[in-house]
Amino acid sequence: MNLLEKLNRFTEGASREIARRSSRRGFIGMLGTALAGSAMLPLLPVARASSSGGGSDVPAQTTGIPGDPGDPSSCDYWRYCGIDGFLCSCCGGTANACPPGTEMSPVTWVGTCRNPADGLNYVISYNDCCGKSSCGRCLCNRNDDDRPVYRPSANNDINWCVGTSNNIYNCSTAVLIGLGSQ
Amino acid sequence: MFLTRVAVLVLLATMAQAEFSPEATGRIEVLPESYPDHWVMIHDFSFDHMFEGEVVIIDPLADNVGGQFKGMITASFIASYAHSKKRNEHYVAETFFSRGGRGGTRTDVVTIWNASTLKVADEIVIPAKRITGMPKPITTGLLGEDRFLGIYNFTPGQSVTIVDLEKREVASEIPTSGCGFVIPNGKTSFTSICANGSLMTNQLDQQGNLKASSRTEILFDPEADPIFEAAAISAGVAYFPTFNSRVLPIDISAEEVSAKASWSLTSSEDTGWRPGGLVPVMTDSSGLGYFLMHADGAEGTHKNGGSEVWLYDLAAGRRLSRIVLENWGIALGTSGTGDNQLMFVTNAELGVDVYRIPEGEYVQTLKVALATPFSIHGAH
Repeated sequence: MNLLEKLNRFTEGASREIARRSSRRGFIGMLGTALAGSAMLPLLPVARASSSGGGSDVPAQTTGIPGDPGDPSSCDYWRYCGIDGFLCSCCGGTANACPPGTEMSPVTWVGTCRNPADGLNYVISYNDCCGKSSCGRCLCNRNDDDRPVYRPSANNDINWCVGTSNNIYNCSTAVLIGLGSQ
Repeated sequence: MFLTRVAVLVLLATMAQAEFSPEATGRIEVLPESYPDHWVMIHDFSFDHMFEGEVVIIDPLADNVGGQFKGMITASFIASYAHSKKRNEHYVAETFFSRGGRGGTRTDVVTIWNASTLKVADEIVIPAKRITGMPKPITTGLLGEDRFLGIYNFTPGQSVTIVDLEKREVASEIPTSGCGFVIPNGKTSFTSICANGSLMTNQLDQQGNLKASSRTEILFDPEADPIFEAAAISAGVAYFPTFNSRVLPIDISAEEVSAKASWSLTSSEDTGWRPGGLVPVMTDSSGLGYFLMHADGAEGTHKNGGSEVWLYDLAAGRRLSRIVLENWGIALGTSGTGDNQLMFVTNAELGVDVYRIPEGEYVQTLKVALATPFSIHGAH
């Protein structure tokens, strides 16, 4: 199953599950207020240097999914085109899962990244993982689609550990949540 | 002969005794009541260890670590910082958790530090909702001739907490729905930037409560060409650079703010140059504007920083010079007055480079090692 098929199945299943649990108004409201994102950390040259092998001591990884190329522990991985923070792939989690014992923020910002394998744009939700102090590994900052903090739904500078048990930032994920406009 | 030798030994012992005076224990240094204008306060956010942030007071013209490092205060969990020369105090809006790195009860406070002793003068508990994230110069602002401190909140509900620095208590919380940040304007007012490209201004009364609120029309396109969350403030005007190299001047001298005609940082010869960085713009004490610029600008390069700093006469919208940096820069600061003015550039290796301005002559890279020195505040 390639990435697109997998995503279609996932979003279809997720939509059915959410529809079962909540009203449409609730779902749309949740999307509207939970515009997603990731948190912190700056400086392109430094962040890229510190996260692309040298210094991170994290072996190269692959997603194992056909059509999802690249190393999720590297800042150059295609999904990270708007991420800002420590990569959860280097912190005990994956590109779309938090490390053990942390909590994923329900609120964040979303951006769009182009997958080099199929040339399609995908909508990425940059959810932060929260509840333990900074992971400190694989700092990465890329800023496609990022807009200033006064536009929260499009900003990666904000600590998006809001709506969680506590606000302590650990690392950032990049979850595929849909196909973008092509 | 023997007696002579004894006499010499006694004499030597007496001399040694006279020359030695034991040092007292318990001595603690104190900083001057008013810092020299060229000193700087560098906020190290300590992003790998966010509870260990600090603000270090530095003499940037000293030539060794001992001479440069004058003292420090702590700043927990990506804090916000302000300094009042008038009140001789440092203010740190910070966050503590009762169980440290694993959470517990969150408590937000404004810690007030005496600038001479660097001891805590007071602590004011504020609503536990201040914004945390990458440093922005306008997250906090001193209002009403340093009577009040405004702190931007994000939960993601938006508001500003007003702290009365004379009464040492929270005065009010002003809702700023759809808008963020604290840009002091008029006598006792502040302006916030709104998501739709307008500005909101809230006026305070003498007690720090909301007196009046207003919004401008839409002044810029927040998607196609947004303004940065930083401005060069000079003679009552805040000059905001945009992602695409324009400058939007906002008159903040009165209670009601107003936009002036925008102008461009670039000419046809500078195509592709854009401002960028964590703190991409700064003013010196003469009112000149400094913009951190990079070539080949494009979507997503607005935090890249730059290889040059461009110097402007802000009122005239005219470039005065281009300073080619010793190292790639990501954040700017300035200090000093008269003919002793300095510019600071946090470089891509996270050192802090010092330049004389307006000439742009490189002086040195600070010997004091800092982890993430993203925010630099001049003592002037």
